Formats: sequence, structure tokens, C-alpha cells
Amino acid sequence: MADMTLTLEQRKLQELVREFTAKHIIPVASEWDEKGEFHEFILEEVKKIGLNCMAVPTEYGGPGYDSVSQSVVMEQFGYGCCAFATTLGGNGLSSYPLAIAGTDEQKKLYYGRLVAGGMGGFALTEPGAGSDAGACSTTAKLDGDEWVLNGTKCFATTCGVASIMVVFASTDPSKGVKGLSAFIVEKEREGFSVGAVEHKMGIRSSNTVELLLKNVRIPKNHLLGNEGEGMKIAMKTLDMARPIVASMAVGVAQRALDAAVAFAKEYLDVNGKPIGLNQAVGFKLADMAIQVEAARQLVRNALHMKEAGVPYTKEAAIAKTFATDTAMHVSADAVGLMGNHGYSKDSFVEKLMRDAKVTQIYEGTNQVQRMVIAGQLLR
Amino acid sequence: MPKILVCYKWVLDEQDIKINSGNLSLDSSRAKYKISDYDKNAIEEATLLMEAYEGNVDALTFGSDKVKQSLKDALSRGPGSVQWIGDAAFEQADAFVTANVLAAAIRKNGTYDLILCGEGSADSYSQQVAPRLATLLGIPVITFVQKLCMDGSRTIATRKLGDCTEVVEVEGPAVISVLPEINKPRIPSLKQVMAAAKKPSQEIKLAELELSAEDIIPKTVSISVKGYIMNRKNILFKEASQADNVAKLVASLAQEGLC
Amino acid sequence: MSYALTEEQQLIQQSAREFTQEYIEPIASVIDHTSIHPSAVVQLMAEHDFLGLYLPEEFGGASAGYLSYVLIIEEISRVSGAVASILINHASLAAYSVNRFGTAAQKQAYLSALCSGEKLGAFALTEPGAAPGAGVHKVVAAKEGDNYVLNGHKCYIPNGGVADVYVVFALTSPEAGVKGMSAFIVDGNTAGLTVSRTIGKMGLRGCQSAELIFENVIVSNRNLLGAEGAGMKIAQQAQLAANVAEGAQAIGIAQAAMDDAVRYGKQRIQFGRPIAAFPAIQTMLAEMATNIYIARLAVYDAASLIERGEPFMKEAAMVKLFTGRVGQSALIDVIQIEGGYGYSQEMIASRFYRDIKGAVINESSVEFPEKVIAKDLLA
Repeated sequence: MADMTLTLEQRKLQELVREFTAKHIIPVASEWDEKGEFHEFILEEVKKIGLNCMAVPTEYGGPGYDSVSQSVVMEQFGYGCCAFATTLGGNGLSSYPLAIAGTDEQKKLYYGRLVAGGMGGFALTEPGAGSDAGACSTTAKLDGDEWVLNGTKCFATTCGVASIMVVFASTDPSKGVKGLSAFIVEKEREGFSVGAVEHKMGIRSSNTVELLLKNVRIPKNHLLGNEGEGMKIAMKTLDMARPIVASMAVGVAQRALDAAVAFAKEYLDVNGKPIGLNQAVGFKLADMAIQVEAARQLVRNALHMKEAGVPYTKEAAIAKTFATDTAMHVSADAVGLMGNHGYSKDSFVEKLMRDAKVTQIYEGTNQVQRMVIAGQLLR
Repeated sequence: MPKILVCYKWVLDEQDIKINSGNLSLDSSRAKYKISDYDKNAIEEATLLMEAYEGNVDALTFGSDKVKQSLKDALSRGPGSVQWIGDAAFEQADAFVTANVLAAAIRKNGTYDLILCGEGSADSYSQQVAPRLATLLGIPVITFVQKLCMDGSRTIATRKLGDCTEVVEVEGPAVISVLPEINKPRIPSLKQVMAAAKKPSQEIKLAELELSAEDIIPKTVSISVKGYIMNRKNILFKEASQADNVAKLVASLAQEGLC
Repeated sequence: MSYALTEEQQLIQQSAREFTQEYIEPIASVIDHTSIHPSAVVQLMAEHDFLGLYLPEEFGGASAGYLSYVLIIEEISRVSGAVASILINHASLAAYSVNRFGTAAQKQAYLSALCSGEKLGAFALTEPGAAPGAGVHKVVAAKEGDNYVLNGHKCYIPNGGVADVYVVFALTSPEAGVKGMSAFIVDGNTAGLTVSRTIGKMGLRGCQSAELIFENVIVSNRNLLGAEGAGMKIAQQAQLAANVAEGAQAIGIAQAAMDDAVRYGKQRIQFGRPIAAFPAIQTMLAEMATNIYIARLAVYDAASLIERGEPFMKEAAMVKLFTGRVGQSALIDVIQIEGGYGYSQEMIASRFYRDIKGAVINESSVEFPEKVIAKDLLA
């Protein structure tokens, strides 16, 4: 179903990704969800169509897709499987700190690895630092020409397989949030290891791990931006990631809606008529469609503002909140509509309901999003 | 066919009691009541004896006016009947008063082959009621009982004492106080709970008992009750090397006698 | 809550709580992980008279009243939604139907065994036109002399394959559609009745869901429950009676989940305070506590109507409608409060999240409760 508000180029890309998703993701998503193991194979496949490093600027070897294009791609991936989409969108998210504060050298290093087919990772969260990202206890001390990192990160997406990561550590614990700094860490650094794997209720084939940093030494020039700028970089990164996460959620919601519609057309009521003809069912589907469409347009709106160079922080937060809430409610409604069938493993909608829940939590919980929006409104 | 009496106390459930961290005072406003834990073991033991030897079990309880809420609970656990003495004035009754009142009620009812109760109550744990009761009734007492059986008019009890056990025999009626090790109280089934409503319960008014005024004045008075909070030591070992930290941890634990 | 439960009902609730803490809570997670029907627990429940509950003493039931029964369901649901489902299908659907619509001979033959727990009951209702394979799921009952011969499939039957007695709905007059549906009591070991597969579900795992095949299953006409053609009416009555118990199930799950969120909120420190101190969290907790409180009153009221033998269909439908909403939104918020930790499979909250949808869906279809209520209002 081509979106005529997109340019021809964007529509072609949409079709390409739709085919890719239908071929490589949709047929196996449930199986990988059941296994709960990392879907490594997809990295090679997505590299073949040049979508493994969408966020890398052309100067550094990236394909040069604009924001709306990236959003369209992410929506399709989300449509296929939220876990796969989380992995595939992760390269973008983890590379934003470079766009925000990276030197040319650093960009060459980081982007280079992504373009070569490696994965990137973003390690901010710790057991004691969730929504309160500034309460970081991982430290970074300068020792001659090197930074020495010590600490533990958790809920780090794809960091179990990532080749290079942005890791946040405190260079001055006495300054709290203002003492946080951002660093580039390659996986081969001594002292760096992957700890426990998180077993999740949903997005189960996405890799979520604990990272253990024990006297990890990295060159001085692996500091991103200046000391103390870590929080700023982190917040700006999440800001930039919001429309991407929102796009994924729109995909999940659309998938749930499509499943419910298909069911409503086929499932017969006691009188032998498709239940979709029942007004209550039809209205329910209409309400779901309204939400999905609104979510999509909020994402597009935020991205148009971004492309126009206009501040879009509030709109991005609004889009993330609304789209993920929509994914949650539409997937739950789809399961409800599809009854015993939808609740069972015979149907993939129960997976959608498990997957959707995390979108309201990660990349800044929807409560944090509201803090951002309120902050924008009340300044 | 032994005739058994089990005495139980209706106490505040300590799980519901909140301790104010400031002055360690207790807030029992949200606390519900329960049958004192070791008394539950006593009721269960009495019921097991009844089932084993085809006897019958009566229950008896004494306390504030709240004890009226305990009757169905007690009856659902095996006793065939329950008697209760309850009055708001007895909120502060101590072991002396309790033993006097129970003894007077028991004398009124005639003789029992065995009188069971818990080793101590969940709230005051004075462990005095059983010995006092036995003395007042002029019969032997066996305390710290973790195993019990009957052989005609003989009762054989295993007592748990510190680091050894002792087997004791007694002929004729006796008071037995039991430890929780003696059994695991079964959970009443739905039918047992429903059946409790049909079993007789009877109030005994204080006036009906032969007690003097002094008999019901407590000899001990509670001056204050404070909560006990276990404070964490919050000791942090932050040496440069983990090996040093471990050594310090071990030394600290050894000092506490823990390793 | 000041609703006047009698002393006896309070004691029943207390004993039920002791039972669940002792026998179910320690293995609730294992039951969910293995999805194995917990026959040992069912046996213990039978020994505690939980299978006969509100059914008449004459047949070995405890005659405890429907309200006491739902109190027990709520207690069980607080630790295991799956075990509650097993019991609801047995007591509110199978046994209820036999008790309410059975002849003296049928009750003699089946009700005593159901009450004692010697036999476990299940309810195999028609799923007309379930996609995929529309039409396959109809079971037809052809009259042959003194017997009926049943042929067809049933799907998503709770307790399917582990039950000893099934109340089966089959078309005695297929041309009359749903008006030609009749109810039968079928022994699980009747020749020709087989389980073709057990079906995985999102939650309520441990309450086995099965597809049943009826191949020339011979059922005596003595086992026709109610009159020919009365099937739909029997099914609806039983489902509405079950809806009240499912309301208690939803409340139990929601209550346990909320208690867990409160526990978490008090100990999770972010931004220097327990997150329970934040208005955003308090609002979510207050909302769900309010909803649960009101829902519980509705459940108690509807249960009391059933207990007193008064009309209850409208109230039961209202309970289904309301507890569905309450349960769903409570669990979305509980996982939100618990964030990444709540999303982990290792924590109990994620099981409650998966279970609640099942409690909400069972014995309902889109707008069935609304139709029942509207019918009553417009009569």
C-alpha cells in the first residue's frame, strides 16, 4: 500500500523494505521469538540491501537517506518484528553521539565499522541509573594517555554482538549529572566483557545484555566531546532517536491492525457472517485505524520539522509517546478481538502485545517523554 | 477415648504491626488478630490425638472482648466445641491472671485427660501459663514437648532441651506445652470451615467462675513496648584491589564470629 | 473495604490464602514455564473441597455459596492465574451446567464425581467458523436410535485432554444454525474422542488448551443436557456465571500485580527518591487501586445475586466488561512502573501481564457483554 505523500524515491525504498521484511523477517519472527536467541543472520541480509548503516552520512560511506526515508524503513521493520527492528535501528541510535559530538577521526573509526557490517551499541543504563541516567556509577579515570573505565552497564541493546559502542561513564562523580562523559569503546578492548543476557517477555530475539568493564583502557582521544558533556550528548541522542522508535511502533500497531482486519473478514459469527460486518467490531477497527494513522502523521510531522531545521524536541517526544501508546493499545485490542485464537501461539498477535509493551519503556519511558513535553511547554 | 482440652490465645498478627523508625513505637492500628502460632500447633496436636485415639477435643480461650472473632477459626481446625471468656478489661491480662481464669473454667467443666497449649504466646512469650495452670489444677506439667503419644492413661512426651532430648512419661491428667516442631498444622478445608458454624460455642462469664478480686489483677504491668529494627552495618570495602577487599571482608566476618 | 463479608466468608478467604501460599505460590512460576497441567495441585484443591465449592451438599459439594467461591478464585489468582482458570472451567462451566440443567440421574452420575474432584470438568463450546479452516470446527450430533453420534472439531478448549468429563455443544439440527445447538455430557475416555494437539498460549500457561477431535463419538441420549436446541441458552448462562468468577480472577491478578508495583516503587530509587514518591507513579497506582476496589464490589454483588438464585445476567456481563478494562490497564501500568525489570521474564510481573489478557478474553467475544446489557436495558 504505497503512501502517496512520500516522494517516488521514498516509495521505492518503502517497497524494497516491505519485500525484504516479507521475505526475511516475517516468516521467521515467531520462531526467533520462541527461541529467544539473537537473530544474527539478519545482519548479513540487511547489509546486502545497504540498510545496515542508514544513519551514517554519505561523507563517511553511508547511503544518505533522509529522516523520512529512515522512518519509512523503520516502520516496515517494525511491521515485520519489533525485535528485529530494535536491532536494525540500533546502529542509528548508537551512532548519533558521533553526529552530535564526534571529531572527524572518531567518525571515521565508528562509522567505518558500521559501514563494514559491524553493529554499534549504546550503553547508558545501569542497575542504579534508569530514568535517572545521571546517577551513573561507572567511572572513567585519566591515566597518562588513556582513559580507564570501571563499572557495569545493563539493558544494553545489541551490545553482546556490537563491534563498537558508545559507553557513558563519570569522569567526575562529585559533579553528579554534570560529571558524565561519553566514550567510544571497541569490543576487543581488554577488560571489557559481556555479562548476563536479559531474558525478556517480548522483543525476545533482540540482544539485551549486561556489560562488565574492568580497567578497560581506551585511548585519550576516544572521549566524545568534552568531559562533562555526556548527559547532553545522551539526551540529544535520545531526542534524535525518538522519531525512529516511534516509526517502529507505528509498524507494530499497523501489523496488529492488519491482523485484526484480516480476522474480522474471515471469522464467522453464529449466523455465518464475517464479524467485521458487526457494527461494534467495525467501530473498534475504525478506532484502532484512527490511532495508527494519527501516530504515523505525528512521526512525519516531527521529521518534517527536523528536515526544516526547526527545533522538534517536543514534537519528537509527542510522537514517541503517542505511537508507542498506540502500539500498546492496538495490539491489546487486536488480541481481544481475536479471542482465543489471538491469545494462542497459533497467532502472532499475542507476540505483538508482548513486544509493544517495551516500546513504552525504552528510549526514555513515556513518563520521561512527558517530562520533556511539559518542560518544553512551561519554559 | 481421651478427653482433651486445648487452650489458645487470640493475638495481634505481628506482620501487620508497623514500627515507627523514629521513636520505635508500634502502630497496631492496621493489625488483624490470629491464633497464637504455637497454640495452632497445640490445636493440631490435640486434633491428631483425637483422630488417632478416637477422643474428643474442646477448646478454651481467654482474653479481651476480641476473642469472640476467634471461635470459627479455632473450630475449623478440629476441636468439637469452644468456650470463651472475654472482656475488654483483660486486654492487659498477664500469665498469672490467665492461668487463674483458665483453671477456674477447667474446674467448672470437670476433668480432662490432657490439657494442651503452646509453649509460649506469640506476643508476650512468658512461657508461664502451662506450669501455673498445672500447679493450680494440681496435676503434672510437661514443657518443651516436640513429640507426644498416648497409651491408655499414660502419656509419653519427648522434650527438646538445648542440645538434647528427653523422653518423659506421666500417668493420668497432665498439662502439656508444645513446641512448633511437634507438627505442621493442616490448612482447614472448605468443608471444615463451613462445619465450624455448626459446632457449639459457649461464653463463660467471669461472674460464673470462682475467682477472687486479686486473682484477676495482673502481677506484671507492661511499661513500654518498642520495636526492634535490625540496622544494616553498611560497611563498604573499597580497597584498590579486589583481593584486599576480600581479605578485609573475611576478617570482618571472622570478627563477628561468622566464619 | 467495608463490604460486609460474613465471619465465615472471611475465614474461607483466610484459609484459601494459607492454601495458596503453601501449595501454589512456590510453584506458580514453574507451572508457567513448563505449561504442564499441575495435577498434584488439582488433587490438593480437591482434598480441600475447592472443586465442589458452591455446589450442593447433596452431591458432595461444600455448599459454600457463589461468593465464597469467587473469594477463593481471587486468592488463587493472586498467585496463579492458570490454576484459577483450571478451577473456573471445572466449577463455573462444566459443573455449573450439570448442576443447573442436569436431570437427577445425570447429577447422580456426574455431579458427585465433579464435586469430589474424582473427575475434572471441561466445557467444549462451538467455535463457529474459526479462521483458519472455517467450518471445520463445528461439531454435529446425529441421532441414531438411543444415541447421538458426534463428529467434528473443537478448538482452544481449556482443560482439554486432562478433563474426565466434557460438556460438549453440538448441532443436533445444523440447518437451524445456533438454534439447533444442544449440550451433551461426554466422558473423556469415550472412543473416538481424541486430542489432536495442545496449544501454546501467551499466558495462563498450565491450564491446558487443546484441540479435540470427535470421530463417531457415541453419546447416550441419557447424556443430552437440557432439551434439544437448548444448547445456546445453556452455554450463555454458564458463560455469564463464569464471567463473574473470571472477574474475580482478573481482580486477583491485578491486585497481585499492583502489590508488586507498590513494593517495587518503594524500593526503586531514582533521582534521589523512591519512585513511589513521584506524582506520576502515584497517579497510576491510585487509578488502578480505585478501579480494582470498584471492580471487586461489582464482582461481590454479582456473585451474591447468583448465590441468592436471583437474575444475574446483566450484572455478570457488566462485571466482564468492567474487569476486562480494569485488568488490562492495570497491567500495562504495572509493567510501566517496573520498567526494564518488570519486562524481564525472571520477575513475576511479566507473568501477570501475560495472564490478565486470558482472564479478560475467556468466555467472551466482541461485544457479547454489551449485547447482554443492552438487551436488559431495552427490554
